[in-house]
Amino acid sequence: MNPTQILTGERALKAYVLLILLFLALPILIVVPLAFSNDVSLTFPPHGFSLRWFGNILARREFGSAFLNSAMIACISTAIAMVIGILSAIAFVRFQFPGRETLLLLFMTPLIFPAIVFGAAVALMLSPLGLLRSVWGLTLAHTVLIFPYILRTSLATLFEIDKSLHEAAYTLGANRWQTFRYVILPLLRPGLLAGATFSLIISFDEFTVSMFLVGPGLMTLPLEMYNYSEFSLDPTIAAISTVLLVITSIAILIIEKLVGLGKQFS
Amino acid sequence: MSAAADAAGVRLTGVKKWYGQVPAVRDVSLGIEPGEMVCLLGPSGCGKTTTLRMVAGLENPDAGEIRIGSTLVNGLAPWKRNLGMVFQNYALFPHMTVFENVAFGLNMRRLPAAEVRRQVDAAMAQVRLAAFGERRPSELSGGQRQRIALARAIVTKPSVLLLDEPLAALDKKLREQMQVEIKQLQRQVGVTTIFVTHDQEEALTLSDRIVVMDEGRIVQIGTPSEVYERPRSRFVSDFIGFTNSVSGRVNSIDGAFTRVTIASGQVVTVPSGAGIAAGDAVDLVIRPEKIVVDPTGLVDRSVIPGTLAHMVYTGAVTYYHVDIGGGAILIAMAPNPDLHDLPALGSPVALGFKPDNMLIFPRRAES
Ligand SMILES: Nc1ncnc2c1ncn2[C@@H]1O[C@H](COP(=O)(O)OP(=O)(O)O)[C@@H](O)[C@H]1O
Ligand SMILES: [Mg+2]
Repeated sequence: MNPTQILTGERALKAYVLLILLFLALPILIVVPLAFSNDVSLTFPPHGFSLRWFGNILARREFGSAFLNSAMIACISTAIAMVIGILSAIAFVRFQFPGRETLLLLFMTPLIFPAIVFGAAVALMLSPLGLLRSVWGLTLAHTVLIFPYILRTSLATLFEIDKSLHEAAYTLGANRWQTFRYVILPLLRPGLLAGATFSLIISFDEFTVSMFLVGPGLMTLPLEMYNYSEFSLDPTIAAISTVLLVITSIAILIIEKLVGLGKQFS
Repeated sequence: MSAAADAAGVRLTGVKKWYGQVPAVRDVSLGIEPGEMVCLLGPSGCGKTTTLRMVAGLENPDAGEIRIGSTLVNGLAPWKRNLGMVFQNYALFPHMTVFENVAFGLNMRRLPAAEVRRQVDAAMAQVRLAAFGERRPSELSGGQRQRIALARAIVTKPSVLLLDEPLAALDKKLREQMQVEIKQLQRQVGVTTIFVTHDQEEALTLSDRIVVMDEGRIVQIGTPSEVYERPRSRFVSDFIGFTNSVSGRVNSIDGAFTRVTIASGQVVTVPSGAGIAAGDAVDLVIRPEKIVVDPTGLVDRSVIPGTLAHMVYTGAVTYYHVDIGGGAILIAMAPNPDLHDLPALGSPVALGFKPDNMLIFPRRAES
């Protein structure tokens, strides 16, 4: 290749990357200005400027309670999945036992299982237990959904911790618990925080499975937004989306600061 | 620091360890005196690390007893053994500063903060890294990490210090410097020390006694000079230092002396070796520095004539490769004290040695 060819090649690549980025960012670029629109319906480009749609979020009680539900479910299911996830990860890394590979695969299935099938199955299972349309049923389902994410980040971080670090701690007089508390946990912390943040986002954002489990009196925010948009297509939805976008961005920035995002995808 | 007061002896009796079907340590019995520095030396895979890890409590022996001081420690958790251990990769805690690393053992023992600070500062001064407390291990060089690992291991005043190939990751120059430092530190602290290495030079330099291991067994225990000068087997003589060997057949045995006919047809008289009978095929083994080139004027030397086949000049010493006939080459090492004329290749040379320095071993099966 001669230099001009390389140059045109580079230009083409740049244009291509720019196009992809634009395509990915387009929904965001559209939704944010819409949130500040003065129109009564979702039209683009927006006309005028107003904050009344943000006001509408607060005025409509159902959004507030759905937000609280979603936040609570996300926090509790993440907390449960963290405890189980860390303990399972330790078992997978430390011990060889029959069925280890199979179990690991099983734990990872929610990642690839079609959500719609999972949702229906969970609904069938929770119904006889009386956990349908219950916060606890939802929390349980979300715990199962996000467990693989926690397990995966815990495993990845644990594998990186050299076995000789445990042993060094032991020889220095630290028992198993002290070794976990002062050596392993601090080294796991960044990975766990990243896993936890992703889990919170995934749970908060979950739609398909939750759809089978919610009902009158129990709504999550994504479903409440969906219901609302069925009747009125005004910029309130855009306003909520903008709020969620800001929250998520802050969360991602925190992970990036703590561990580096790239590491979680490698 | 007050020495040897809490140093404890270590005694292994009939210790065995398998990994599944693999016997890692077959039958090790060994007594180490309080304050002694003992080195486990042997080729890779001979069970040195496993032996050390059993003393540390990181592995449990399948048979036998391990005592530290008078306490039977079989089954005792490592954190209850009051040990210091330096790992091959140092195993410094990456999320802690150097100070926190060294303080870890003291904090686990719940010492008051002021006391921890005092002792950590003292230990860091001892390894000459007093100013490095606030750094992270990742900000240290290899030699500095090594010294911090050492400070962390000794600050708790362990009754036994265990080191697993602690210098293997360092370059030659730094390794030699650290050997001296470790030895001085060990003397100062007076701690009983078990040291693992596959580097014979390191073993000779550092140890009070060397334990030579092969295939999970101890093949010889002795001071560096005993092991070097009086290896009890061909394996030991080959593993430690450079040796010559000449094959021959036992002609006759006359009490303390054995007459051996070597390949060139010459008869050499050497001290008798155990388990060797007349007519046996044997190897005669001698160190290059025990052979004198041109022994005229020296008494008590046996002499073997030959021709100079090759010379390797290394500055301080020259190695003379001498063809003594029958396909055998003996290498003599001689210092280069003055500028002098080296003999020409192909010229006849006489080699002299004291019969005492020639060791006799049964002929080794060709490998
Ligand atoms: N964790 C282990 N699992 C299985 N085999 C092992 C393990 N550790 C060591 N071995 C085996 O035990 C033998 C002795 O190993 P080791 O004590 O590490 O030798 P050295 O330290 O002398 O090189 C070797 O054959 C090695 O392969
Ligand atoms: Mg080893």
